[in-house]
Amino acid sequence: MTIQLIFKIAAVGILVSVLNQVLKHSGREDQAFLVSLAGLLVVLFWIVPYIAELFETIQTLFQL
Amino acid sequence: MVKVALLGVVTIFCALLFKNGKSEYALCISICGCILIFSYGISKLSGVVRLVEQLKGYMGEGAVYFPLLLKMVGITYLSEFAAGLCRDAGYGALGGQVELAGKLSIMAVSIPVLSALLETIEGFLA
Repeated sequence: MTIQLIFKIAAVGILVSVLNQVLKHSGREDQAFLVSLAGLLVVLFWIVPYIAELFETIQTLFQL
Repeated sequence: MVKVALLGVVTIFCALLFKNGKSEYALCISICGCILIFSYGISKLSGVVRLVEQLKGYMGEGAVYFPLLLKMVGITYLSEFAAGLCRDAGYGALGGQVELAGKLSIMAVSIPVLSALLETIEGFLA
C-alpha cells in the first residue's frame, strides 16, 4: 500500500488508452470498448479492498 | 509531512495524465492518493485519541460526551471525503447530498447533548 499502487494504475491507464487507439484505428470499436472495460475492472479490483479497509479503520477509530 | 506533500504532487501529475482522455483513471488515482494520505494522518490521530483517553479520569462527569465528540469528527471526515470525491468527479449535486446527510447524522448524534443541556437549564430555572 505505497506509491506503487498509483504507478500501477497509471500504467494500466496508459496501456488501455494505447490499445484503444490501436483497436479504434483498425476498425474494431467493440473490442476497444471491451479493453477499456477490462482495464477499469482490473483497477477497481485493486482499489476496492483499500477503500473497504479505509472505512473499516474509520469505523473502529471513531467508534461509529 | 514532507512525504504527504510529495505524495500529493506525484498523485496530481499521474491523475493529470488522464484528465482529458480517460477521466475514470484520474478519479481512481485520486482515490488512492486520498487513502494513502489518510493512512499517514491516522497514525498521528490515534496518538491524540489515546492521550485524551488517559485524560478522561480528570474530566469527571463530562467524560460521557467524549465518544459523541469522536463520532462527530468521524462523520465529518467521512462525509467530507465522499463529498470531495463526488465534486472531483464533477457531480456537485451528489456531493451536496452526501454533505447534507452528514449534517443530519451529526444532528442525530448530538441529540443527547442537547437534552442534557436543556435539563441543566431547567435545573437552574426551577
